[in-house]
Amino acid sequence: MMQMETEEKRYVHPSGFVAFRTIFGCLLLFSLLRYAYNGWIDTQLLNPKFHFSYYYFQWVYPYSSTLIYGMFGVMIVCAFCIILGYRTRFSAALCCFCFTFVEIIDKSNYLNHYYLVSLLLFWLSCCPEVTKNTNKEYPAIHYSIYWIFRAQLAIVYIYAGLAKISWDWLVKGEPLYTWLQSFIAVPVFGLVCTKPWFAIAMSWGGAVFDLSIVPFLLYPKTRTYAFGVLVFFHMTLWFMFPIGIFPFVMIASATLFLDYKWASRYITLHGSSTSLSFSKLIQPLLKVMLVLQILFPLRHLLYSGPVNWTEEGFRFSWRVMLIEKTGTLEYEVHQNGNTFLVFPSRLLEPFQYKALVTQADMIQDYAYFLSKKYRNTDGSPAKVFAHSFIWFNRRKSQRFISADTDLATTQRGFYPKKWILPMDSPH
Amino acid sequence: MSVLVFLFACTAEDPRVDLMKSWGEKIFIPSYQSFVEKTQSLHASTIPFCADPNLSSLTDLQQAWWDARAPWKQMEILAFGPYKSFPERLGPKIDFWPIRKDTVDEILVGEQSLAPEVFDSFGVSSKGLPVVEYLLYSVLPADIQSERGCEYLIGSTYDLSQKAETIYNAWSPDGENYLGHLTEPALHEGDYQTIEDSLAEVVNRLSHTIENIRADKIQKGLGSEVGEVQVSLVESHFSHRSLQDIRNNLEGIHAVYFGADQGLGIDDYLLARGYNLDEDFTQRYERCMETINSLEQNGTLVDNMYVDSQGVLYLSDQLAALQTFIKGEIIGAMSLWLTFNDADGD
Repeated sequence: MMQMETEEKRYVHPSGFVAFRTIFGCLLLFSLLRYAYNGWIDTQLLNPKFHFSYYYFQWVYPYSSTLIYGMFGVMIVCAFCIILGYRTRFSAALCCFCFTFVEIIDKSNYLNHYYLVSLLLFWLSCCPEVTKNTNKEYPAIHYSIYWIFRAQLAIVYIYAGLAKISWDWLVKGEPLYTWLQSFIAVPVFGLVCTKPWFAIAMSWGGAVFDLSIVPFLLYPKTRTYAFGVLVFFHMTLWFMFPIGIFPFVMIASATLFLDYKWASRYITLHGSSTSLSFSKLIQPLLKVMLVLQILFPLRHLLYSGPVNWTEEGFRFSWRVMLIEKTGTLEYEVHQNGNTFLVFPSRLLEPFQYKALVTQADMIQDYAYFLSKKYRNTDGSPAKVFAHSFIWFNRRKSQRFISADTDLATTQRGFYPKKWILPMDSPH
Repeated sequence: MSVLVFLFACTAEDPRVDLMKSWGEKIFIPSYQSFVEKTQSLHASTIPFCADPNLSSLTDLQQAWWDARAPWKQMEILAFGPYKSFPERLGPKIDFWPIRKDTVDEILVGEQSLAPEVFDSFGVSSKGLPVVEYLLYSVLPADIQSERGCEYLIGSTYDLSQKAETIYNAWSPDGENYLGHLTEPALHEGDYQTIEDSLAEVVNRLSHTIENIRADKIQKGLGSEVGEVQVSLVESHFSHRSLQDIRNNLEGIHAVYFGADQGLGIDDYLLARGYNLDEDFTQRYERCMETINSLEQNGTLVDNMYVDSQGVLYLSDQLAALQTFIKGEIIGAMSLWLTFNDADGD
């Protein structure tokens, strides 16, 4: 048995994987129940009259409340199955579809950790069914099952760390400085954490953590300490900022870096030689997905201008906690010779407006919508110009979108948005 | 972690609480108090007028209405809480506009009771400041002896004074203490969980108020979408108080920024944090006020919409500059948000 657990034999103890799967299932279940309990199914998904769809995913739409509530019901059942280890592949695949469907209904709802949950569900759906036998013992699993998740986590941390190598983060300590001001009334800590040097120190700490935690987790001698630091890091962030279940998902996922047998007290190995690995059919898909995961966050390099300003290639790239933006947006519509303003804050849900103000593709989406809503009498779409001002990481407010561009005539998709104005002050 | 828990659990002197308290004590409560007094005075003036209707006392009544409107318009920045929330929803009960003239005219020619106490059950389009304005500036000047008009006036001003008192009590620490929701959110179950939330509400309202001026008070009247001026959609067009209403709105914003009656303002809070935005704010504010003054030289807002629509649009642009400044620099410098999605975030 010992021999089987060695790396040489490539089949290892499944306890770490099963434990992760169970914890992740619990977090997923909690997250879904919390979403439903807080009424977010209605407020975030069903109430909006307009949805900011992703390119090529306009067909993803909350067709009916029955469908969306049904999907949540399905996801809750799937989460239970994942926890119990019952039909985990099918459950993860179904949950992945439903979760991703719900997640991409509206760009305003985009969150990195939702994306991560979708990915983890995807990887889980690719894994073999690791189920216990009648003696409550599990079969050994191929070590690549651990490594696929480790690779995913490494991508998250390393890209998050690389994104932090910026003037704003390392020199200005932004946006942490801005956020930390909310602790001004906390005794002792408030006095310290509201100082610029503290924000800068915390920023550096965050960048170093993101960039180094994976090697430290991989190296056996530092693994335990690194895991302790990881727990402290994520719990501190959770305590300070409303970031939902994200820290817990990261901690749960990080357990996959621990010794394979860390949960062997509860999850015992099957005595026989039965062992499980990725099916040969699925292996090419895993490789393609992994390559995509490595390349996709780099797509911002194809665009000119700082990504934190333009946000071209920002989503799905692990650019976490990097920006604080606020501003105003209104549209100037030219219809039938009349010119008037449309104030989207009055037409959209607050969470949609908040996202819309600072994201160029959403500004363009809504301009398209307005151009069709206010058609000219000859049927042609109205001209729509955006008056958009953004305050970004403690810089002075400046115009974000060229006011001379009729957004209704601009090309949608992944094309460079040349109508985004350059940042006045890079620093 | 336990150290962090301890530190976060403690509370200390919070300048944001001081600021909110100061706004409450020096601006919000006194303004509503003034509104109560002025609506009571307005109602009191209707009795002698109706006993002996004449132009001179009508002018006095119009002035009383004009005066009562000032503190109310200054406090339009407080269009939340008792103003908006059910069951009170006092904002529309006091100031529902544009007026539905047909509704009021139907009541005037009808036979239903206009006893003061029945107004409480009237819909929002049949009472409030705009209805009183219509009676004082349109109905009664056309027929000063109109008994039904006078009866309507007495009833509606009575109801108005009652509603003014209700909103004052809703805010007052001696009453329902909505102010407490803002100053000590943790002690009051309601809309806000932290002082940051309540402070963000007030400051964001400054920007919302300006957007409302631009969208509702200027653009709708200008009829930009339909290509012709829509007088009936202009606020206070019977009394020609439209520009003064906007001025009062801006005065409310100014008071919150600089404080009032030696009280604290956003300026004090920002100065303590190392920001001085006073000059930039004042510059933008003054440009708005100067534009209003300049428009007034041409006549009323409606007059300007006909003869100088570019001037009116210029006012909208100046207001936009002030709005952008509040929404950007001021809210930014005050660190008043965490733009994490309400449904979690990162």
